[in-house]
Amino acid sequence: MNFPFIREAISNVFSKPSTRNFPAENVEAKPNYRGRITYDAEKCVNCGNCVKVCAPSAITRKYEDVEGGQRITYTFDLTSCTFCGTCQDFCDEGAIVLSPDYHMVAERASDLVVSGTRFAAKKGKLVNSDACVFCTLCAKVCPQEAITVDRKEKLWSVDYDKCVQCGKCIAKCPKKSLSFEEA
Amino acid sequence: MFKKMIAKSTAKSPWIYHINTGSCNGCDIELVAVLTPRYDAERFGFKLAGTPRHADIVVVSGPITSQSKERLLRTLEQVPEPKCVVTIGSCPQSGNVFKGSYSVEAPLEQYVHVDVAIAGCTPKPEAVIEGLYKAAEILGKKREAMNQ
Repeated sequence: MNFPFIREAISNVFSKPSTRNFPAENVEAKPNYRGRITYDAEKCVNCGNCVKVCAPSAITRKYEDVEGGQRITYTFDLTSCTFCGTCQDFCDEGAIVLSPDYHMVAERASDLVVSGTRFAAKKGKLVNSDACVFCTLCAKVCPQEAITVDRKEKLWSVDYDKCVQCGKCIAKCPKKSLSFEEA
Repeated sequence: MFKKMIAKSTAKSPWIYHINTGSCNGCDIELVAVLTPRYDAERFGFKLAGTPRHADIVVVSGPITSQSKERLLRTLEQVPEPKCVVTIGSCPQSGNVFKGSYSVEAPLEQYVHVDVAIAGCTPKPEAVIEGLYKAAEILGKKREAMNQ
């Protein structure tokens, strides 16, 4: 007589169940889990990279003119999001972070929207000075492709309609040649 | 007396029916994972029903393709009242990355009222359990309102 599974059967009687006692005990998501988006409006420079890279176009940007500048609102629609994390990767300022919070259950779709508003003071136009060496770094870093540089002809120009005044070109300029004109 | 008994027993066994309307299978797998011993939604009485006529909660996944739309609506009509419609993932809510496609008729909200939306792509099984539990609560309220 041979009972091959009797040891296992007896040990199973005394072991804990494999079922997770979920609603009673909260389960944390694993590290780097991409859950609910958190958006820090104060860190945002309004470069618009996240809007550009979002595959399901879940991110929208809204401008509102107020005295002395404008209010910029970013809205992240979680019912539309793929949680790919590309917006987080492209955000140089670290304003967008996908938190490990996965409890995203709602009766209304409006509860699954994350948004943040920031007041942006009016800045002067972007101007270049004589220190410019036409290295094209500003054109490469511009998220809106507003700057065009011709190295041969030594021409530098900016499309003010496209410029969102994020200041990335100013930070990148090795000669500190760029600045916002004082209004 | 029987009504009371029926009400008491149905409250603790909300049966679910799952419709895939062109989903990538990610959400479907997570819903099935919820019924496995690891997460065990049957603790709360959830059970997969074989036909929509037996179901209380309808779980919809996928971005509702043109081919599946008619069938989806026909299936939803067969579910007896009171029913609860739950969407899993981003697709039935908005169309996700497929929105704007010629063959996707995404927001489910424009055809039927969605009671609970579970966000995520795909949601974690724990989130699915949470959503189903919420749906069962809503179902109970609907049934109460119907019986009065």
